[in-house]
This record gives sequence, C-alpha cells and structure tokens, in this order.
Amino acid sequence: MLAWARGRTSEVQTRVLIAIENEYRAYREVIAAGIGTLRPGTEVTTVELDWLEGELARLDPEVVVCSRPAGSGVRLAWVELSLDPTRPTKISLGGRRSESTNLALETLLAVIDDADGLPRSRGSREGRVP
Amino acid sequence: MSETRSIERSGTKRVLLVDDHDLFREVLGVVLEHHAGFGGSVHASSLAEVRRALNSREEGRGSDEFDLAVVDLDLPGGDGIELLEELREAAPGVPVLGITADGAHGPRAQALRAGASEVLATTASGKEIVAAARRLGG
Repeated sequence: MLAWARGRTSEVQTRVLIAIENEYRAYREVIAAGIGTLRPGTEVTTVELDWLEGELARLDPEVVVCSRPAGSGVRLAWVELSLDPTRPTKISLGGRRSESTNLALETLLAVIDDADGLPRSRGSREGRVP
Repeated sequence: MSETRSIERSGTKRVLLVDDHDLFREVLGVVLEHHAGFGGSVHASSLAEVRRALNSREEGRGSDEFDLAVVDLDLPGGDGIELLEELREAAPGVPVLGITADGAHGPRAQALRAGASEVLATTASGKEIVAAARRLGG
C-alpha cells in the first residue's frame, strides 16, 4: 500500500480496496492516492488482481473498486471498473445496482460516501449485497 | 466530458491533462495538485478539446495556461500522437509526459519523435508518474 494513498485521520471510517491488473498499475495507484487525498477518513489499499481473493479475506473492505466482477463474499459496495471509457462501470451499493459509462470521480466518491452511511456491523456484513 | 474544463487552485504551476478515461484524468489532477505542487489543471478528453484549450491559450485566456501536459497516448484513432505534434507546435516550451498501455517500443519511440519529453507505461507506479510530472513541470 502506498503511504501517500492512505487516509490521514487516525479513525478509519471506510476501508477501500482497489484491485486492478498490473498492466494498469498507474491507474490503480493514482486512483487510490486520489481517494486517500479527498477522503482522508478512508483506508485505501491497492492490490494486483491476482491477489484479490486473499486481500478480500484479510482486509474485509467495505468498498471494492475492481476491474473484475464481484466474486465470492458480500460487500457494502462493489464497483466493477471498466478501463475502457466506452463501456459501463457496474456499481452495486447496498443492494442497488447501477451503471455508469466513463465513471467520474464524483460518482466514485458518492459511492464511498454512501457506503460509509450503510450499516456495517459484523452481523450486517453477512447480509451485504453480493 | 463535453468540453474543456479548468480547475483553479492556489499554486502557480498548471497541468494540461489529456485522457478519455474521466476517472483516471480527474484523480491524476487531484494527485498532481496535492503531491506534485501543481496549482491547477486543464482537462481534456479528446483531440478536439485539446485544440480548444490551445486556441484559448493562444487567445491569452489565463485559465487555459499550463506548464506541463500529461497525455494519454492511446486516445482512440491514434489521436495521441497527432495531439503531441500539435502541442509541440502550439506550445513548444511546454514539456509533455506521455502515458501508454502499449509496452512495445514502437509507440514510445513514435511519441518521443513527435515531441514527448518522457513516456511512461501504465505499468509505472503512481509515484513514478508524480516524480516525472514534478521533474518535467517543476
């Protein structure tokens, strides 16, 4: 994880995992740094796509931004990020699904903010949206 | 994005960001402003938008001035290279950092011939991009 990608407050509100293949490492790390800068209450971690499952289990993030569809387990929010701006990014947030072609930063931040407001007890995690 | 957008912050150096992927372009602007000392950014997602920015710059509109250009070389239709050539002509003193997902040597060499100051692959780290932007635009 990049030190400059981390949120800066001592009390972390939302854990965000950014998982994108190494071919687009720059995207992965810059997106993480941007979120960490604009939402200092988040803890942002980056991971190469092949390590996704292990990091999901280890970190149990509330929000996942990933170039792969949602897999096993449930999360408050899963953003299946399209690296092709002409194809839609698929968003699953608290049971609601939506799509956004050429996702804007504002939309991604809104997903993180909305996820931050959703119930997140261990019990409720188990009931999260796949 | 339908038109060129300028974002002003407190610093003095400004960066032109050209990428058709809105999220990456926008977060790169945030990161360069917070971690590389840039005070603002001009955003463009296509060759047409860059042309508009260059026209505004030529007309002396301060909001479209920039000290560095960061260009996605993989814009649709090969526009990235054409854009580089136009940038070189319109703003010869402005360094250009090219970014490409094509790891082959061809596009990189082509971009350097067209006037890019430096070319990084998308496999580069975020820190490498920030360091290159700081070095070229500083």
